[in-house]
Amino acid sequence: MRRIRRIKKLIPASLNRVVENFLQSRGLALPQVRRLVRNQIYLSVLGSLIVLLVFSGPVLIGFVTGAALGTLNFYFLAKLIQELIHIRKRAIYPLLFSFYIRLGIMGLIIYLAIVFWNANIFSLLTGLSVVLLNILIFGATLVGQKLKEA
Amino acid sequence: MRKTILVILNTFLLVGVASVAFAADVAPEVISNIALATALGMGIAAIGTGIGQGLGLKGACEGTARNPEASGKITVTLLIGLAMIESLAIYALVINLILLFANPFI
Repeated sequence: MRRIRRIKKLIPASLNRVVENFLQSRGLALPQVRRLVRNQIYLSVLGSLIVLLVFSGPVLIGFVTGAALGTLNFYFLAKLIQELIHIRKRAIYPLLFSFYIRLGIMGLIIYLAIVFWNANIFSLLTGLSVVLLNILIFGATLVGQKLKEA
Repeated sequence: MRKTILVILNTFLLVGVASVAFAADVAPEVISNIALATALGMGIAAIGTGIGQGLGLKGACEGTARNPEASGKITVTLLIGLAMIESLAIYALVINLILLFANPFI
């Protein structure tokens, strides 16, 4: 928990506000969802910078592609689910159609990355796993908050 | 029943003969087995993901219908669940693409 607090102090509050305002203007109404997407963006950018400093070539391409794909996928998934469950828009068919377009584009980009850009597989998988890391951190903070309240 | 058996046998025969069409340095049986493995792997991953996401969405819809005020919390939980389930299918897709186009063993 202390480490998470220290990391939180490193990121200025104004940056958080700017990112969250941007996400809100893009249609993410729920604060918790905005926080999840914001953390996902931070983790992807941070991971990409670290990989950029240490590696180059296929490893860098793999991680950046994986992280960017994971982040975009998560953002569009968040937007879609919110519109379906929370806002309850009536355009369910276009929303579900966008679900398959998203998956198709993602598959196509992964295919291009592996076959044509020669991305390193392990770094690609690591980049795609940033979403899982984000969710684990979110879960850990929730558990920490509940322990604090108890 | 007879038709089903014929279809299954036909499929196995086609998969077996498909190796002849591949012209590579690797043994043709290996290539046909890889093609079969990728198809089965992606199919199984799609089945699991489909069932998981369907159950999640069903629960979320039922929960929102019963208690519309809880839709915020349900949305967050559903988002986390769907992202985790979808990542499994994406892993399977990556492994299958590796097997097909960038196989380290052949």
